[in-house]
Amino acid sequence: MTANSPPRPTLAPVIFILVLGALLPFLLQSGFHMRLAMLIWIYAILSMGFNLLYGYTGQISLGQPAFYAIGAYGFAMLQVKLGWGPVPSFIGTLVVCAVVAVLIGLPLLRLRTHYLAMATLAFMLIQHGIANRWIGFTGGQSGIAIVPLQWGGETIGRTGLYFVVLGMAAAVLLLHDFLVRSHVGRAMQAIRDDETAAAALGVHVVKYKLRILVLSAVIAGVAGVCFTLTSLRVDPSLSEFHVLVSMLTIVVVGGLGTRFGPILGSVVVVLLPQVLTGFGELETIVYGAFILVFLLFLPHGLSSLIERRDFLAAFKARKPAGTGKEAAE
Amino acid sequence: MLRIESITAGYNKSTALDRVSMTINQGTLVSVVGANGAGKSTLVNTISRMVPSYSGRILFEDRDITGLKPADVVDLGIVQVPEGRQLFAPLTVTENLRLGFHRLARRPDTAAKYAERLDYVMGLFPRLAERAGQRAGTMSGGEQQMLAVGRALMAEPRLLMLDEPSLGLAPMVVDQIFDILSTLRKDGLTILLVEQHADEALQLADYGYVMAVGQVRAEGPGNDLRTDPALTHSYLGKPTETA
Repeated sequence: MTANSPPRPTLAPVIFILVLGALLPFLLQSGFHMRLAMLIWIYAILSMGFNLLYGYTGQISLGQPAFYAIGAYGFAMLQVKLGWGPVPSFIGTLVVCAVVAVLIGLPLLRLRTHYLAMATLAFMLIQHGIANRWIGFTGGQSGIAIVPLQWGGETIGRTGLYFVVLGMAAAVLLLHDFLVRSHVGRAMQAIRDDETAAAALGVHVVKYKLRILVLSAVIAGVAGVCFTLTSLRVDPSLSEFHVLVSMLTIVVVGGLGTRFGPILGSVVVVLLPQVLTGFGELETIVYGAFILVFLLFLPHGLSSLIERRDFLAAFKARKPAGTGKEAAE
Repeated sequence: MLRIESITAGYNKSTALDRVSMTINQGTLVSVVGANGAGKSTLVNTISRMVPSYSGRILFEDRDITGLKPADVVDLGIVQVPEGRQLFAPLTVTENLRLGFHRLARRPDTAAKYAERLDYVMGLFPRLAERAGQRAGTMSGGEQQMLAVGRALMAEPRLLMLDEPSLGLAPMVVDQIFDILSTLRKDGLTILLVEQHADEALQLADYGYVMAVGQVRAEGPGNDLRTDPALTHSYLGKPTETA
């Protein structure tokens, strides 16, 4: 092999991110800051699932917030309604997410691009309707409250809870990283770029798409469980449109189909509004302007600054020699 | 190795292959020639199951593969170099080759096998080694075709099918590609070559088929077909003086 082939990615950045995450509770003072930190991880988990599905496999499913809500509701309802403990509820919730994903995936994955987006969006609206209107089942607007997580008879404090969420994020991050660097990740990218060519290379396209949809649904479910764990209640507001918008913003700002885009994007999307509160009523406009600037000058997201090869590629793609496909994205 | 028995296939209602039968023996190079619209590409795509067939059978080592999915066919070792190359343009040469390796990626000794295949392909196409980090979409047509062939070879095919590898290439590059095919055949690889460049393709072939409007019109040893004046005149569109 020659010198101009890119170096093999290592686990070092993953470990760096996780060590930084583990140090955060000792650096942050207020409970509010800890809440923000947890929110970053929760959004990062949700967006990593979406990144696998859309960024790497090219399947634009807008149903992720619905699986997030199913995760959050399932975790609360299994505990409150069936009296299950947190661990069985957690596992049960993920099973529910996987089963629902298979059921909607089998018919919907035949659709491509915006048709798939519309169909999965409809799925999200159905879920939202159930959460809002089926009051006897979901608690309607007032939602469901759960008791805080306990360990050895004692309620786990904020720092402990943070480490639970961090642990979940770490598991998802390691899985995400392992997948995208393996032959599975390459098969996913082949499907994204050209399904026909991927099939011609021996990639089982339908099988892969369904597996990734299920995996991303389960990951969204994990994020939902984390949300319930930290907020101690679920209500329909969690699945409102803003979760979808935040998730889309995160993957675009962080960089679609990149290893660390979801985490970088989550940091920006959670913290930026806090920084911008000084602008008062103009906050939303300034926020929007920020996103526009990102899209114009960093079309491959924040990750492109870090993953240098992508940055060079992004730069090259601006020249006419780049492929038309990229320009369209 | 591969036996096609009276296969009929097409797109929706229209028939592109009409009761076509062919045999490809192990270790031979078989060329299928014919004009545009003769059904050559449909033939390749039917074998790889990208196009469904209506009737007839395709037997690979006495196993009927007509019920299989495209990916299963690749698993058996039937690998296609599609028409127009179908490379992953935003990915690098190495990444494209890695994708070609997908068939073998689940083996226990996958890393060693990958290194072995990569060495083999880079040895065949030194040009690809020089361009390992370059994006496929930015290479010349000839280099892209080499990459497409190299990508298929990464899967260690038992039957390699090439659909118009000369498409849109300069004559000199076409010669290079055909030289490589000749080398692969000498190494014992079984090859199905579909080509419009009838003369070169038949010269290279152990056995050839001439197709027109979805049917096999003639078959025989490559050189016999090539020198049969009736055939060259009626099906291969070869005028007495080349333009």
